[in-house]
Amino acid sequence: MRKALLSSEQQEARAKNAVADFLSRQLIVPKVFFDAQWPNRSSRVDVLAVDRSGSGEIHVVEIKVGTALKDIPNVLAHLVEVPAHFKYVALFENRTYRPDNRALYASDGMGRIGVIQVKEDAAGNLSAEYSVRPERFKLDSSIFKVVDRFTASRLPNLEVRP
Amino acid sequence: MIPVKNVDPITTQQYVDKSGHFLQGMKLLNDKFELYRSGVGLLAIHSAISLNDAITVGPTGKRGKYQDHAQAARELEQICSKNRVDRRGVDHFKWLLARKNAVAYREVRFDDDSVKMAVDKAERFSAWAYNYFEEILGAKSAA
Repeated sequence: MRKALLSSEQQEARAKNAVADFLSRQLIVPKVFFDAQWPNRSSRVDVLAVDRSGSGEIHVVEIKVGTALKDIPNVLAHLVEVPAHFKYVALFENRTYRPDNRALYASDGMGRIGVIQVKEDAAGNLSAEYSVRPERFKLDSSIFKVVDRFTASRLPNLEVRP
Repeated sequence: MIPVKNVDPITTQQYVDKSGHFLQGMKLLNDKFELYRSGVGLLAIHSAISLNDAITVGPTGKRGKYQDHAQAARELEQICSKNRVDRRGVDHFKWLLARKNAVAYREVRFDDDSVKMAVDKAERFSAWAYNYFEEILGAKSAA
């Protein structure tokens, strides 16, 4: 009944919220941005979180809702290219699918895309958990200048205020 | 952000790590705070104490050995006024320190509102510290 009432955009927005809560618990006072143009205007990620109030490591998440997953290889290919220390694909309304393991790893071997499962209980409450834990990708420290510019130019959607 | 050179990055990192462990432990226990209220409170307080140790050890290489934690707050206050830093964090820190004895040693019960406030103060203190002392706390390390 609930699924019939909500559009796929609404379901995706709910999943973003659940993922943001999940990351906020995993990280230390992160700044979280939805639909972030990262690292530039030609690229966008569903959720971007910068640990330690914007001074720490960068986490990016792409959300996929439903069972139509034919574009997952494109999503993973996009994630591999996006600069971040930790990268994730979050799956909602799909409890069985697991991406091809080889597609999760960086070509140089350092870094694995994590998989987050977003689940909904009978009462409609969402929760998220890892089905594949992420491993850190290799990044040059110059990325922090980019993230400093990003956090200076846009207010986060979620943060702990000092 | 204060551009202060960190003369003891290893010790600083140890305190930063400790603070993170306390803060994450606090969040875990806080899911069932009615069972772990004193634990939540104590972890909140210690997350702030460790992060303050990181802030003060970074520029000097020395960590104060305070019998009286109020002295730690005074030292933080001095660092803030010297560097013209917003002092909201000092207020959060003082609030937490003022409850350390009550949480750890006295017979009084840490009530629900105080637990919530301690969690809030600990998170705000962390956010404040990473905003203003980013250079010292060195959270940015390339992999």
